[in-house]
Amino acid sequence: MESVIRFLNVVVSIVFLAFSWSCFAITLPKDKAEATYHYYDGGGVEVSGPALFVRKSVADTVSVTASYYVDAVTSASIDVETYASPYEEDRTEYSVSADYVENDAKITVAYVNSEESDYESDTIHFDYQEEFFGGLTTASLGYSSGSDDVLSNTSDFKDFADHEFYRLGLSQVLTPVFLIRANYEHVSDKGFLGSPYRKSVVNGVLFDENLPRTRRSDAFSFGADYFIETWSAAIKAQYRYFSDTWDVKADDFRLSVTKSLRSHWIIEGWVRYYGQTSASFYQDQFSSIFQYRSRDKELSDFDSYSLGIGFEYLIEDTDWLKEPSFAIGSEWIRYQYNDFYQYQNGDFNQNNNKRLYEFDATIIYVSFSTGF
Amino acid sequence: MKKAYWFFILLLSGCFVQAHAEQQAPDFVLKSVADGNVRLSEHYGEVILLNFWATWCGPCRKELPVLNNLQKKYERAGFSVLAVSVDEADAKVANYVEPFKLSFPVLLDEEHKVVKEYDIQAMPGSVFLSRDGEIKYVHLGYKEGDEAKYSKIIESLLKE
Amino acid sequence: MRYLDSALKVSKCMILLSMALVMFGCVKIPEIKPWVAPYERSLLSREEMIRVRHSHPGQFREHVYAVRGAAQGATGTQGGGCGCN
Repeated sequence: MESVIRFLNVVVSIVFLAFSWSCFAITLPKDKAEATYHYYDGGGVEVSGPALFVRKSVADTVSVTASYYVDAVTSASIDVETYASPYEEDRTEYSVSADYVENDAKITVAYVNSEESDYESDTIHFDYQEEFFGGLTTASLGYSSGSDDVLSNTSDFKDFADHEFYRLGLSQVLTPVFLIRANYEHVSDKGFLGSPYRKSVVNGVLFDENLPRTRRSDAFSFGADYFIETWSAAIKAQYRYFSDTWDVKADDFRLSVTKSLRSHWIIEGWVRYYGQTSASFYQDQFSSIFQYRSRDKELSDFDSYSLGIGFEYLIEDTDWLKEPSFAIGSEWIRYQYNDFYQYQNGDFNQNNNKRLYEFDATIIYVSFSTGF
Repeated sequence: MKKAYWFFILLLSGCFVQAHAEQQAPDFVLKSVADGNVRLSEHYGEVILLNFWATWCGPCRKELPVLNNLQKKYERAGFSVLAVSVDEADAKVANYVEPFKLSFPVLLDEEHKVVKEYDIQAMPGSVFLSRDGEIKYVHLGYKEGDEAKYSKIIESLLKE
Repeated sequence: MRYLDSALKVSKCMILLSMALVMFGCVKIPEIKPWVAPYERSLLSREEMIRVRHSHPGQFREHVYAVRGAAQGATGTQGGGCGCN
């Protein structure tokens, strides 16, 4: 009798992980609806629009999500100012996804379609996530494949751009108040990777830019979340390192503090520093025609600093709504370019009348989210 | 060799059994949200569902109305749910459970003494005790549809 | 080759024997028990620690960062492509 008991004891302790369906096994994402208005204004570009999102469980183990997002863009950016005309454009993005949960694992499949008058994109995502050690460790794998059509509003231009993404992630609970995260992502791009409108400058003259037709990149990020009980506040930090075959190297540090104020209110403040070095074929002005050439300021050497603040107001549950809340926030970002110049009157021959370009951008969002 | 294979098969079959080795449930006294203390042994003679839960646990919240229904259904046959909250001292558990209109005692295990004694490895954790206070089944976690399993276990324990 | 066969047979017996020993509790497998018990995770579930409730604001910020720079990836959010130049 005793040996049977001991046998059962061992069996139960060995299999409990496999058969737990609990708070810290992976649970199906909660039913949720969210409506957000987002706004960006910086460097002559204004983008605004709504985003709607609904997620509903359709069976014990499956939940589906649908979302709709619009960017209404008005652009009079520095490039536009210099050699093009201001434009307005709408970008619409639809996405659908499904999550399937079984014991300690979750599989997510998603499809995203984005359309604007000169760019169409279809992307599918596959993600797998599993928990171990009583839910203290979460490991994830992901793969995405995107297929884009690049067009032009001003010509018959047509080309393609394909992207493949490979992701690995790990998060680990170390103590009841501390967890750490690590992520790795490899991206591989093929096709037309630039802009049919953007120009490079060779000896003061505008030429079409020409980018390599392949690019591979690696990004690693490490993060930590720590909860300070005495302050009722969480501190979260993250560092990401990026490097690609175009020679761009970038560092990204983020730090945020999230605190509850009284009941119902949560305040969050964050700072971010981002710095990158330029692509090997970037120059503000080329002295002769190189095979690969770009004056894309986003491929140049620059630094950016952000400061953000957000508030969340938690509303009482009602018959229909569970954990409803409002969120509002703003981020101010300064971009400082180290090798991209603004020329007086857009005249690239004015080498004495140029200054390093910099601008400030603002992001604002207002959002309502609720479970049901 | 054959004996070894037989043991291996037994091991696999063990995977489908959620039974727990029979042992006497450790007795305890805990404060209740409705003034007063509750001692486990006071409920011997009834089939008991000892449920460990917390206000911060989503599936636990979903399970509370289910437990309420089970309580009402089997109460007269000699069954009781004892819900033990493992929330910290400032969690205001009483306010949290008020809208649920629970018809069973909600006990407070703020110092985690009892949940540790019962070695609960997931939240929520349901321990089914027979009328003489023996641990018969342990069910970890909650998902929709588990109420059928609970009913089965309770009915078999009521018959004993 | 013959040695390989008998080596395999012996190791099979060894594995099954050790499983039997474990099952009878004579030998204990070192169990990695979660060092933070499930009932100790209240603080990790606090509002302040939950990574995100409103998903879009964070995604939009991430989108702005990706469009306004060359770096992308390893941030835990993904979206679709766009001609955001």
